[in-house]
Amino acid sequence: MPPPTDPRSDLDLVAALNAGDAAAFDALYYRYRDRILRLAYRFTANHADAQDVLQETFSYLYRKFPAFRLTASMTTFLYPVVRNLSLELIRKRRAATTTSADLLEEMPGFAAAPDEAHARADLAAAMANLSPEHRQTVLLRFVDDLTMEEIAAATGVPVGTVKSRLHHALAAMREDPRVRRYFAP
Amino acid sequence: MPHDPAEFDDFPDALAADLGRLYRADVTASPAVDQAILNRARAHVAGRKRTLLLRRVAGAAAAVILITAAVIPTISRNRPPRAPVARQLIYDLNADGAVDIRDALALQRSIDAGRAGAHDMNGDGVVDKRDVDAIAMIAVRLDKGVAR
Repeated sequence: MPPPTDPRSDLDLVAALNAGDAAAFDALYYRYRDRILRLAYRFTANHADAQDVLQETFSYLYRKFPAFRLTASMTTFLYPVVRNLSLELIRKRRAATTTSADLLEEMPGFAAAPDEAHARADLAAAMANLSPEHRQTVLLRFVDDLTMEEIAAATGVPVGTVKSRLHHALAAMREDPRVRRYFAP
Repeated sequence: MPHDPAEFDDFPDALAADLGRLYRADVTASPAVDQAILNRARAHVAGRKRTLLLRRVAGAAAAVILITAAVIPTISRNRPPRAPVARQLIYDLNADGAVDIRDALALQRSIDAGRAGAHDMNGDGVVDKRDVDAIAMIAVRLDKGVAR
């Protein structure tokens, strides 16, 4: 059962953990659990794998204490951890899909009305048509609501590169007949 | 007109909403997973706390011993000879009543033979050459006039 929301900031919780306050980890865990799990699922498209990545991610985090220094947002710090653990898991399981049908089966919310399912398949296919870096940037910005600076820190590229990737991704989507309708005036 | 890459406020709301439905998966962690992760984290934090405390105590004890060993020559210079201070016996590994280079060599031989035991002289949590050096330093200081 999650404890009541802890009012302390991430920095305060990190400081408490460094001082040996194990309960501070509970607060951090529940604060970021769902986001990490969703991100892991996005990479792995598998519930069990996503939970494995969740466990490994937080194992990685608590092993950083008691000498951990949080120099960016927790999301920015954890994103590459989740990504790398997920990709490692995927490499082991050799999971790869490229067709619209495969993507549709993997996407959450698949059980929808036929028209809606078709629209989602189109969107999934259009996203799959983007390069991995462009797709990742679009999702981090417009699904995970990260700022440009947070995306830059999480992916290890300059802010200018993030903006350029978004620009090119959106330009590609505007030209894609499957999703052009979103950009119609 | 080229799109200004600095501005993405015109990203279609409908597209953002559909991307969210597509990629923001409704997955939840089971309570068992929650508990497993939290239990391991607590065990790790508690373990590190104990280790840190033990190291601090050992370090403080070693510091007291070293300071005392440095001070003894001054105190005992004007006093009649007395029996070796009990604290020095910690370094007297061969129990011959004196702390000298033979004790350092005894520890070195033990380390080489894999029988270092609990002779963590400098309180850093490991028994290695630095502990041998610690004994050697004490031996040198004691040689400079401390009662044996």
